[in-house]
Amino acid sequence: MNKESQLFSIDVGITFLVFVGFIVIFVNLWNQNVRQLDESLLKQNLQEKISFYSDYLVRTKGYPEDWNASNVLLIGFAGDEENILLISKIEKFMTLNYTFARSKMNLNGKEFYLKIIDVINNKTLYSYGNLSYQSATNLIQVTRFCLVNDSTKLIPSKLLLGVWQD
Amino acid sequence: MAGVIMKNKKSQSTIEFIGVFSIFLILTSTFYLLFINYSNNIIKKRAYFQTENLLELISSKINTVVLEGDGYKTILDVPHKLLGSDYNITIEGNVLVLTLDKYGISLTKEFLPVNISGKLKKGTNNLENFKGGVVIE
Repeated sequence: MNKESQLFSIDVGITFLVFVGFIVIFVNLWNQNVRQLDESLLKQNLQEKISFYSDYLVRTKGYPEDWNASNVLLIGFAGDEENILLISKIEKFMTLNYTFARSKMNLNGKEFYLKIIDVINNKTLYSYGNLSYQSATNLIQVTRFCLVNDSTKLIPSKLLLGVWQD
Repeated sequence: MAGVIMKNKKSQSTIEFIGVFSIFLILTSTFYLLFINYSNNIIKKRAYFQTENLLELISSKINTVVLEGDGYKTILDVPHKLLGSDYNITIEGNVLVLTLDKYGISLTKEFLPVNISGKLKKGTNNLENFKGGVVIE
């Protein structure tokens, strides 16, 4: 009796399934794009932050020039010349509390690490911060080449600054 | 008899059509609302990051002028709009305040304590360290 309307129901059912199928595929692809866009925005933001801060570290003396844990406003490792880092300032930085250093570097809510590596002997001279960065997603790293002045000689080095947000 | 069957078929088809159309409409509306919501979130996030980046740029320029010492000059370009929207930027003491009303964003950023003379404007600004203070022209 209802063969024709049954046929109509099957047609509609198939159309409906195809429609839902398309929507599911589209939503998935779109979600993936949103996630990628989110990540790229975050990475861009982190990139801007650390490029500014790594600049301060290697090019400036910091503020005030003879900064210490109680008066530091801006951390900088350089002496009278840009890109020549003073061991005394690096060692002062090593004694800073991680959370405190992070806030001074304007990286609240983010994780960071800092390494200074002797490029001739490929030896890590200093490392600081959250060193579990290998497992970090969205890790952004900046490398700055510099010299470390250990008062007897200048050591060709690179400063690595990595930032990420979980 | 044939007339009754015909009538039944038609009404069944109409009910099915209304049912299916309603489901399509609900699905499409839900999808559209989700889409709008996601899009707004992304735009807001972009606006937030752009605001943060602009504050970072301005404060870093001012800091550089302070750190470089007397006589140092630099140029600072401040965009006229952020994501196509008007915004306000002011300096209060050693704090930059940027308000982007359209997205309900208001962020602040500290720079090094220094005397600032002149007003920050959109477009090109000349920054100069004059005897320890920063002059904006």
